[in-house]
Amino acid sequence: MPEAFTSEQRRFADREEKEQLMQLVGFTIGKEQFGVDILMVQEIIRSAPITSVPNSPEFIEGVINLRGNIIPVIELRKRLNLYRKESAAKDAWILILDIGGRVTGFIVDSVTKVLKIMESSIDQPPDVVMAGLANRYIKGVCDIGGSLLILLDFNRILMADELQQLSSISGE
Amino acid sequence: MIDMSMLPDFITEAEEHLEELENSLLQLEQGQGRENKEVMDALFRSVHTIKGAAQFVGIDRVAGLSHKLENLLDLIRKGSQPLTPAVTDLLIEGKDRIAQLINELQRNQAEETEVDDLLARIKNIVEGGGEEIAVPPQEDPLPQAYEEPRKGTLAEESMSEEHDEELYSIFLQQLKENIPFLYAQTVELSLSVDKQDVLYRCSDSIKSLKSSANYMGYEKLAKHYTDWQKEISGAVEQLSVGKMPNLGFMQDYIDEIIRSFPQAMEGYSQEETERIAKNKQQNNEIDGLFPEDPHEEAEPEGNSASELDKALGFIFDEEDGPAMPLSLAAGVVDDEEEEEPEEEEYPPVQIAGAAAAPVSGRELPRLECELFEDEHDQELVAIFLRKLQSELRFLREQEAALPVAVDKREVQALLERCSEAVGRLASSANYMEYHSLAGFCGEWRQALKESGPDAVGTLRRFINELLRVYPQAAEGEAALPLPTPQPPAAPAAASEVVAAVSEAEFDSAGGMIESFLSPPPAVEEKIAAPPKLDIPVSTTAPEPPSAAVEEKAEKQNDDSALFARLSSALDLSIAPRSESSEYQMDNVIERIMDTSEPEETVPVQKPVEKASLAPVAAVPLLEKAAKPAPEPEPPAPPKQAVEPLPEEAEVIAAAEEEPLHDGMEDEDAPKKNEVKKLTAKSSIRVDAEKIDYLMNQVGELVVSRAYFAQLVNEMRGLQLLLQERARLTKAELKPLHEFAFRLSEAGVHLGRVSNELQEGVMKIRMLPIDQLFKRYPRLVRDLTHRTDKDIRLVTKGEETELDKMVIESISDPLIHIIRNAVDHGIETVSERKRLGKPGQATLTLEAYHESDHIVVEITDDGRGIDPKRIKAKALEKGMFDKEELDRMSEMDIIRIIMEPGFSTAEKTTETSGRGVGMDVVRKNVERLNGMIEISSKVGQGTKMRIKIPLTMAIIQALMVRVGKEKFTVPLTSVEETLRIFRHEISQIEGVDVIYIRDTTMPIFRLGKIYSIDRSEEDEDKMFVVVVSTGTQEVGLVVDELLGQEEVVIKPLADYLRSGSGFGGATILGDGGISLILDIPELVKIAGEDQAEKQVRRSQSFKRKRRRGGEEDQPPQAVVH
Repeated sequence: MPEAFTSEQRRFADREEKEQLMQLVGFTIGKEQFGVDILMVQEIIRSAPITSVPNSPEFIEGVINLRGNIIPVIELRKRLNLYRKESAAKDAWILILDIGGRVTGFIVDSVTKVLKIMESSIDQPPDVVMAGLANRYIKGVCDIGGSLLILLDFNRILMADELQQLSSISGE
Repeated sequence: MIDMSMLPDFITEAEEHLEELENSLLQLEQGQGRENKEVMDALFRSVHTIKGAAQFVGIDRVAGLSHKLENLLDLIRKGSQPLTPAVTDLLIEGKDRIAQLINELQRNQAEETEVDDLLARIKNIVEGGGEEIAVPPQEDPLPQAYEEPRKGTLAEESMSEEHDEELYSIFLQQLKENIPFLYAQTVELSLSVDKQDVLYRCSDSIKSLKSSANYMGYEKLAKHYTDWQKEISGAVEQLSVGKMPNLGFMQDYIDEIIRSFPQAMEGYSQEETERIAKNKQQNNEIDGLFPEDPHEEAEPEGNSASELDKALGFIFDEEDGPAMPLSLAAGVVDDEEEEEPEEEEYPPVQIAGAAAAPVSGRELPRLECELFEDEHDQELVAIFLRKLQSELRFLREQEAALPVAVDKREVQALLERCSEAVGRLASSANYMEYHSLAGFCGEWRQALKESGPDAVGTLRRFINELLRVYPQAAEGEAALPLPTPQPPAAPAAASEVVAAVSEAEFDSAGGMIESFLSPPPAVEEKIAAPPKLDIPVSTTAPEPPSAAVEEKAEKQNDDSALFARLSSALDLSIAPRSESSEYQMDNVIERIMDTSEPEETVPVQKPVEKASLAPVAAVPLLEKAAKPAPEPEPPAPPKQAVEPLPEEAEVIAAAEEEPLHDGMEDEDAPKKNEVKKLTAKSSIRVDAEKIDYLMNQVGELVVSRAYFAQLVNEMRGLQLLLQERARLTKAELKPLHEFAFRLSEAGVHLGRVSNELQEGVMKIRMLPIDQLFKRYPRLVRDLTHRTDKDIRLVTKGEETELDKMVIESISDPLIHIIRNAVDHGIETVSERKRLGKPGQATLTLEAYHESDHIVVEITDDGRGIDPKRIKAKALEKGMFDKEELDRMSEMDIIRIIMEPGFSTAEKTTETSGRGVGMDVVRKNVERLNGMIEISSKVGQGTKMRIKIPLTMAIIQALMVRVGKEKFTVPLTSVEETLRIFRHEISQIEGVDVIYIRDTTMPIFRLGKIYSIDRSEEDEDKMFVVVVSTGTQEVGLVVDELLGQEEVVIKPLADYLRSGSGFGGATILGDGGISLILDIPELVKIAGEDQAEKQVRRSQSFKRKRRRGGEEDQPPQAVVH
């Protein structure tokens, strides 16, 4: 039992440290810069052959075969209703994220780099809509050397699509 | 307070036992029970295990209820409670209630349903029915005569006989165990360096007290405990930051409790009382465990049993104390456990030091073996035992060093070290939640502190006590196994034996015993030596007991000098009588245990191994062989009680062919255990996830095998290409040729291995269908319970194995089918007789393999399904037209019973009639990609045949192509494939249909349903895959049939699955993905599409255009 105690203390200390410094994977869609907690990122792959799934929500690009697991891929641009680039980038990246156990791929234009930011430098999302993005998907914003980084809340992104899916079913 | 970490284990375990319990109960009800010992045994085993586990995990209601059930069962076994239907009903109800509680635990981690009503009913029966035996059931491990001396205590106990007498006594007992422990801890707290640790221990103990208080509804007490816990955690916090909290509160809290519950300390100061209480309880336990033992014993002994009883009573009278000298208390024994749990406990016994020193001032605290508790955690137990061993070894070393130590400081240091070791022991005991041992250790430390000059004796006494209760502890020191567990028969046997020592013999018995202790100085030395010397003794040369006894007798014959000494020693033991004699008796027995002279011990131990055999078989032999010394036989038995040797017993049971032992019933028990153990060892419980993972990987392998095959094919193509284009000669191509050949060889090998691996992994998930079949006797019993139907349920092919998931999903369908058979199919007894059928109907459940499928057949010999009746009913309900029905084959008509809402029952009965059942059956079977066939002959019976694939993870499938997409159609739903031309398609009410074999069949274009671009396809010729949903056949239009393949089903995210008509996906040989069609869902979607189309068609052109435009648009609307 004393061990349990110390490990708890350690965990506490770890968390404190983590709270101070946060590592993000930066990526872009169009001109906007986004970030996602590095701990959620399982891997980043170059575009893989995507099998489309008929009758699925529009923003679902399809499914990919990731070493034997079938993973849905969401076109983040469509999901977030961002302005549309005419031809889908051929050199797109797929961010494979583990969102609460549900491994899902997100298509982004490019992946930039790992950013280390202080937790404290993250601000609440402004009330105004950013880059045409409904702010319920935004966890926070952060100033990185002049430009603004948007932290996305992927839990919401995935959850909301369920809701949408549900409503589309009931609408049928 | 329920121990959440243990809960899942408990639930699985309990479910298994409940299943067993139900089986046994049904057997009991059918009248096989009373006489059939095994059924009763099984019942007790199940109930008892549930009780034990529930108590351990802290599930009070289950524990309470199962305890009561046990009592009731006990009455039944003794025959004092007739086995009326009401009683069996009550038993079954009790079982159901436990099942319900466990269900609730599984769902909500809490017991919700009350059990008081059942408890009360059981109590009624127990009290009402049990009048002939004046004593409640827990009283009778020993025969009646034994009651007399104990009545006083009994009465005292029953004073608290309010509604929950049993619970109250449990509560008190817990209090008694914990409070002294806490007391000891509090004392230790002031001395201990590791205060946190002590506090944690206290906190644990309080926790368990709190839960019992909670259960009893003592709110104030519970609150008291809560406050206490808070204080402790506060103190721990302070300690953790390096502050020194005021620990005085501990004493205050304890005082408060002792003030309110003076009984709590009773165990401490008046050990007798506690011991009695415990004995009673434990006797009860023994009784529950080894019900037949007394009878077994009694049988061979014949009418001497009553004599024994009397004698026994006499002894106890003589001994003047309610405390039996041989109060043997078995720990709660888990039958599934190995021998370990079958420990014996003894009341505190004064173990004199090296010399048979008089009782020392301080009584040994009682120590009970708690090993049994850890059925779930053998690993922990092993660690604990190792710890125990090492600490003991250390203590022994210290002990040996003590007398040598000259300096007082040296002695002090040694004692200090001992104390530390004991402390360590206490903490590990605590960790294991062996409260008794922990308390014992606390006491030990205390004793060490106070002991002063007699330190060696104190130390030894404690070590011996510990060793006796935890004989395993000595294993570390001994190469040979220690005498450990107690053969089940022993406790009872022992008491019998004691009884057998009739008045006259008593003397000689005592003398005999004494002789083992006192005579040769050599022996004495050995007694003094640490028990490790026992080891060789206890395991020496397993010989037939009779021979051994003979030997012993002879020896005694020879050694008359020894015998004389025995007698004198015996006088000694008799003389003081009264209280001290009891101790002496204990002492004597105790010392026998330590005696290490082989010749003497061997004979004595032999009978032990044979438990009850000794008095029976050995006695006559002895008398023949050793006429001059007829007495020696009695001492053996007491020894039995003392030194259980089941391990050996088993060895001997196996090795010995001695006719004497054949048929000795007591041997059954260990044997049974052994069998149990074997089966237990051969299976492990594995997290289903791990198997799924393995299955996944195997799936991968199957995929890469397919890829490999594809590569080989490509290689061949390449060869041809080279031959034609590059015009290479045969000789030039030869190496390539050879390589291609080797590659294909390798491919074949890979295929073989992966096939086997796949099969193997699939087998892991396979369970015998017996698991399922076992549930149905109860169902049939319940269904026929209040009807005049008599049904015999026959099961065949129980050993057929199938996927656990499949088993679970066909459980419900089978229930419905059986219900139908019982309710509709099978006639009443009188009706059957009138029809010339045997009164008892037969319902057969049979399972067998058929290629890749498993078939479950449910056959009854009832009235069968009458197609005419179904026709009439279907017409009446307006489900079909007359013409339709006329066109249907008999088979099709019978299939109507699976339509939702169809029922031929005139009125809804308790069990069926709403027309839901068969629909459920069909749905469930379909979900498994299975089929159901019904065949029936009027007046002769019905047969339902369910055919299901062995597993749901890998399926045979037809690959099709539509446009550029490849889809997978499960082969089980494919009826046939056709090739049609455009002109063959006609339209009925806007639905595309084709004519096939004189009927029309709707066809759906997959390309349209899924809006797939098929611009490059030939619109004139197409393929149709005819699929069946069980009720309906439709054609799916595809562009190409790619062939049949074995595919591994991979799950799809739920939002991709719902409403899309895809049930999953699979990975193709080339790494691509193909979606697997969920045919029933797809047909539903297509049907809806069509219905919509028809609606639109019927509307005006203008509206249709506007509306239709909108409806086509939605997807794009989202995009823009």
